[in-house]
Amino acid sequence: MSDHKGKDRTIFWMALRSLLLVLTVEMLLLVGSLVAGGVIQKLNRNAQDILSKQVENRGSYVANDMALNWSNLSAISDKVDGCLQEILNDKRMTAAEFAESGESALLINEVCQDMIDTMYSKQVSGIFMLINTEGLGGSAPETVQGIYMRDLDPTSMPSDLHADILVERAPVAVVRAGYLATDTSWQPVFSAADSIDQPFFYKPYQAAVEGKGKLSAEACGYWTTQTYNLSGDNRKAIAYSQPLILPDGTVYGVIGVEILSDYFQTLLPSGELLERECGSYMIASSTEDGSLAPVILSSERLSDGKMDGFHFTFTDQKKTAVTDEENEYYGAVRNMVLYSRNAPFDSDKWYLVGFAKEDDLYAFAIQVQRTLMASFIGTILIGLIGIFLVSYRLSKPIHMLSGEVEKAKQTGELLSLPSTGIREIDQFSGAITRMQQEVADSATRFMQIIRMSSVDLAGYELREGSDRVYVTANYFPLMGAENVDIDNLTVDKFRQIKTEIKKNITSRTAEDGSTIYAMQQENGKMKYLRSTTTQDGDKLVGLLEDVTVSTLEKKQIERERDSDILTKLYGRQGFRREAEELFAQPDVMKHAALLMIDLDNLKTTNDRFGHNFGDLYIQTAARCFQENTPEGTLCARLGGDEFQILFYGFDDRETIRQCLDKLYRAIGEVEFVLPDGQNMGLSASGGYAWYPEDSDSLPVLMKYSDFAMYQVKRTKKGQLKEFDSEAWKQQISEDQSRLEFHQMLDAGKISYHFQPIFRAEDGEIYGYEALMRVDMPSLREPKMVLQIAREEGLMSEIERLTMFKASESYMALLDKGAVSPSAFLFINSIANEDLTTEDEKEYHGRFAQIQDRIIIEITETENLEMELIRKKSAAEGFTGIFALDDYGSGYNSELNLLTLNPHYVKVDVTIVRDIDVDENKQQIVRNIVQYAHERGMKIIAEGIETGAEMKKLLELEVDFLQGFYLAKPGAVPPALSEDARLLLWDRRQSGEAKE
Amino acid sequence: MIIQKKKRILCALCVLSLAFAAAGCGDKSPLDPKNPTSITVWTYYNGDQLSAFDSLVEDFNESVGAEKGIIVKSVSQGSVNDLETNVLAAVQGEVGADEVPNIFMAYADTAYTVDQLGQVMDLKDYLSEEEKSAYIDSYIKEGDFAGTGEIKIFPTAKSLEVLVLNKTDWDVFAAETGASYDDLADMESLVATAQKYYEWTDAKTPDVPDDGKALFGRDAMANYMLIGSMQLGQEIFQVSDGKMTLNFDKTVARKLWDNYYIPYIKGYFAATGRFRSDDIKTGNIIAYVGSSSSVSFFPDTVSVSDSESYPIEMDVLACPEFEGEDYAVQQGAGMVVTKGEEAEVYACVEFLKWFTADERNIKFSVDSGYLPVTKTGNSKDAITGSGAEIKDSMLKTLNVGVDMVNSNEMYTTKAFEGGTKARNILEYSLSDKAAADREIVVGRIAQGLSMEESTAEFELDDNFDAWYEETLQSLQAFVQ
Repeated sequence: MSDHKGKDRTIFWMALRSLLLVLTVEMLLLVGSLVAGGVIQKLNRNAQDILSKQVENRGSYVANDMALNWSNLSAISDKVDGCLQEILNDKRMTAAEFAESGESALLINEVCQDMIDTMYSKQVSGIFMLINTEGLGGSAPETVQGIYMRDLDPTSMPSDLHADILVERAPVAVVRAGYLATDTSWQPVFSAADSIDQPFFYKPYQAAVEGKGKLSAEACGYWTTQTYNLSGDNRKAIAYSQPLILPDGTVYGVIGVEILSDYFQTLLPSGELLERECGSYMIASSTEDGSLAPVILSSERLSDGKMDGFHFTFTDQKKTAVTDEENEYYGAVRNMVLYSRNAPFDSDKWYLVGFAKEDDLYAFAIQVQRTLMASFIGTILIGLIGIFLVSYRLSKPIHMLSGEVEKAKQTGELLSLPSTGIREIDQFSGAITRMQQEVADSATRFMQIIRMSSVDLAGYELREGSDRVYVTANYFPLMGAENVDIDNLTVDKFRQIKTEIKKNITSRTAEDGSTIYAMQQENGKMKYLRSTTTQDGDKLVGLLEDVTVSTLEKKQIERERDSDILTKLYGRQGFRREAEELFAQPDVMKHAALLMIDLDNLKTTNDRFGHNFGDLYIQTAARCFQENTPEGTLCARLGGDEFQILFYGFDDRETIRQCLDKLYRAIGEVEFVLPDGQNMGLSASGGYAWYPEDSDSLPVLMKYSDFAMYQVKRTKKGQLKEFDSEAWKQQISEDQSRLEFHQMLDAGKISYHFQPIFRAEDGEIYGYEALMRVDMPSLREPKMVLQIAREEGLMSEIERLTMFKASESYMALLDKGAVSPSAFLFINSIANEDLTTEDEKEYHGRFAQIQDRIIIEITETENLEMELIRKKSAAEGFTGIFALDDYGSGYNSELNLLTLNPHYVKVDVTIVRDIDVDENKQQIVRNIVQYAHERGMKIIAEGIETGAEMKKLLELEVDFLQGFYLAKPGAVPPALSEDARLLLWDRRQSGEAKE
Repeated sequence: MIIQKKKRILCALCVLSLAFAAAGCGDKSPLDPKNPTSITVWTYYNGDQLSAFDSLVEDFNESVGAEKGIIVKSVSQGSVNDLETNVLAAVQGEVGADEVPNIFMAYADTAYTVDQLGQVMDLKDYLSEEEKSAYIDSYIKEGDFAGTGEIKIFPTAKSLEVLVLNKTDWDVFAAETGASYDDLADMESLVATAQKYYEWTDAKTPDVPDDGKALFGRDAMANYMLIGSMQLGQEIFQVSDGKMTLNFDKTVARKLWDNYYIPYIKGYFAATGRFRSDDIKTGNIIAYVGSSSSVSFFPDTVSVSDSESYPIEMDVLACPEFEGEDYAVQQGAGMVVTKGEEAEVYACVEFLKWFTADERNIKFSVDSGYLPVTKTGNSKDAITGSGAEIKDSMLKTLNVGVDMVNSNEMYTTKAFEGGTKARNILEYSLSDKAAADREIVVGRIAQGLSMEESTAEFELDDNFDAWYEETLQSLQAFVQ
């Protein structure tokens, strides 16, 4: 896992990240394409264009109405003129007289229907006519006769009986005529109050008067640049009026049409400008400073009152900037030409303005932006939610499974993985569950087996590279340590606790390599645990097993096995084990003695009375030992008639001796009846050694006591004797020599020195005797070697060694020139031993060069076997010349001399020693010399140590001399000693002298 | 898998219900304040009524309308007839006609005609029982053409006929002749008083014979005929299930003849101006029976000539009746809602409910001379207690009107096919004949004949019979 730490990501994050990346790229593409495309700016421009187009179209309609339709009053004007002319003709009055007469109702009644028709046909909201010749406004008379009619539904079909017409101004006579209804604000005449603000009738009249007949009525036509209302009425209107001029140039009144603001507004459907009636139309006239003055406002959003805050300025001919305190507006302007060029009111410029708040105008673009933004955000949100959900749904089952697995891991319960609804995952988890089930089943089986085994098992697992320790809950309790928090155990902590615990318990290693812990429990009983560890790859698995029962059982079995069936005492094993435990505890042992006892008469008893009785004899002895030793004394039967008793825990040796005495006496007192009716006493020999004086080691003490016992056995049976260290040492020495003997044999660690044998007559070297030299720590004497060899039956080995080794050494000396080539080699052979045929062949092969000069010395033995001697002499290449060694030292010397018939006789050292003073010895030598010489045998005196001895022997006429006085043996034989040479020289001198 | 599927369906349902909830929230209103619904109202209002109505519409647009997303546009068609013509033109989709308005004012007849064309919305389901019961029963009933409880005319303002009097001139007459208001209380007394007034004024110019002035005029002749007949015990148009049965009783007709035609040709009654209020303004008459709503047209001054005028006071009296049953006319058009989109209909009802709430209804009433349409609004206390600024003339009208509503059975003809035309026959057949014959009488008098000589011809039974037969025949054309 740690290898992948950098990539430790959940499925959720992996899915989430990839999907988020895709979403981000998509969104960037979308935004990028929108920004690059400039869609929004185009939409805004488009909105402006549409607004301008609408204003253009609407402006042309309105201009058409105003300039060509409404202000075209020539027909009615002519009619009025005509009618007036008729009336004037009729009444023979001037226009001024007619106007003054107050009879204008005549004219009005006459032209009223035409005026109504004109109003209907022009679809204006009102029509009016004023009759006056004295000027209007200013110095005009207070009242002016005339008519002012209104049709409140100009676009509707004309009503029958003029039902939809109300008169605002009309003479009483006209009202009484009954074809017109009066409005509430009806007045019979126009009053000064009607001409306060904008005398809608004054300006054209005045223009005509000032034109002095040169201007046509149409040319003097005038559109009011501000709305007005009649007195007593609050409806705002604008009006077009033109003077009434008679052909003779008399200006006698004004006729005009009125457009109510409300009506005009319906002709300016601001709703067509923008959706949701956001746009506004405005008929405006230009003021002197070039800004626009509102005349008619058509708006669903603005009222006339609010217009005060507005400020209109041209940005170009088609556009106007509109501002109020709060908002930015965009306006499109359409110029409306209402007057002929150079007409009196041509300076009044009229416009139609369509405007809207920029927010409203660009609403579509804004909406598009918002929609895009919303869908953008929506897409992101849905995308995010979707991504989250997908990632979540994708990872949830796996997360859930992993959670379940984790939970199961913690609780240790068996995995039960719910279905995720995803086939692959379910198959996967199913497989895991089954697998785990199987593992659990086998574990359960295994656990059951373990539980049934009634052995407490605990274990732990350490993993290399992990600081986590898996320890079974019962591990530390089993070790006797409670309250160890195994959940948060680190490896170090684990080891530390273990070490701590181990301090207080003893342990040993069993044969199979496991460790056995022995623990003293609180109830005093022992508890045994076996701990085994196995390294399995990077896992170290430790197993702890409560083996108390089996150990105790084993101990019991051991004890039973160790105890002797016959006597119920400890057997050999049992004793050793018990004793070992005791020996390990010196404070328990204090002073102790180990007694080894051997029953004396068992063999004879068995032989005489049978084994059953022998067994009884043993049992009786055992009981005696048990009963007559202090409690706790360790008694054991080692087997057969051997017993061992360990007295221990005494403060001094005296007390033990008393116990020994008591035991000794008790043994003596035991008597039992033999089958033959005789009484028989118990007899046992025993030896004992002291602890710790002799040794504190059990095996040593056992050896010592055994030794002591055998000492008794060898001497006087039926006694208990103390270990004698001196005797032991001797024994040991022997044993050592014997050991060394074998070592010597095995290693061929034997060498030969050569001692020269001199001719008595001239002192020349006749030959050399090969003398065995043993250089072992304690085995140094050749005699000893031979003794041991004889005891061990290994004489043939010695024989062979001697033959080969001596020859070998001699050959070497010969090669070096250290010995005379003409000399003989005397080799001590063992009379009764022969080389094997193979050895003989080998010997001949190796030493043929010196074989003809070898003389075999036969050492005297009790009975010389001639067969073997003959065989010796018959060996291949052998001369068959013998020397009889040690003549005169015992053993039927004469007989041997006879049977062997040697060429040389060697007089033993015992004869030579002090021969100069011992007559008997001299006689013996004299006899043998005589005997030998008579038969052609030569005499060799050996072991000569003094000049006197040599002198005497010379006198006795021995042939050859050998001994320390002449020359000591050596690895390289020395020459004749100076003393001996001188002696020989003196002897010869004297002999010559004698002769 | 089944569970999965169910879950998915559940999710889908959740999403759908959310969507519906979002769409339907805001008290089930289909309106959206951000995207207001525009509705058009066609009225025949003029003058003060129009101003009053428009001012209320403006109030509505600025308050509730802005809040709920309703924009009301008021269009006056100028006269009842224009309105009717235009509505029918629109509904029938005639060339050049306007779009059908969402609401138009209409009398039962027009409403019925439009309804027959399938364009009228039944508002029954838009009003709770409680809301319905707030209105005066007969007003609500007017729109129940089928008798199934449907509401096809929403009552907004009702008028009735009152007698309006130029008190200033009356007082002079009364002072001199001892006449009293009682002399104006029933038909026979009215005619007699008119004759007395004529003679009184005639006497003012002893050198000019038969130049007496008329006391009285009448605006709505059809009402005179219909209500008069009812008062006399006969219902001319008996309508059931949209079918009319004619019951033009000759005796009743004669009574009506005698109490209008006869005094008219003699100059006791007059109708020279376009409306009787015009006659009052020019001093032609000093009293007339007309709609309570016409009181707003009643002038402050009388202009006897272009230069000669004087201020007058007015008074309002209950409408004179025939001896018989107590019937008063219930008139004034209601509002008819045409079929349209749900939001539009909903907006219309919202506006109408708002418009007829007591406070506003009374305000409109006092401004226009109409009577409130709700039971609670239709009381003097409610009116005076409303806090509205009330012109004296209006207060008088409303006082009389409320009394009349409470003491009479309100009558209006039930709608039937051709009802408007049938009514027009009643409107014009008598008055036209009277006007024409009076013309002749005036001519004869101008030629120096006496009143008696001039009128004798017209007072003959034959004259009546001829008119009766002619009228009856005309009316029978509408019997189905």
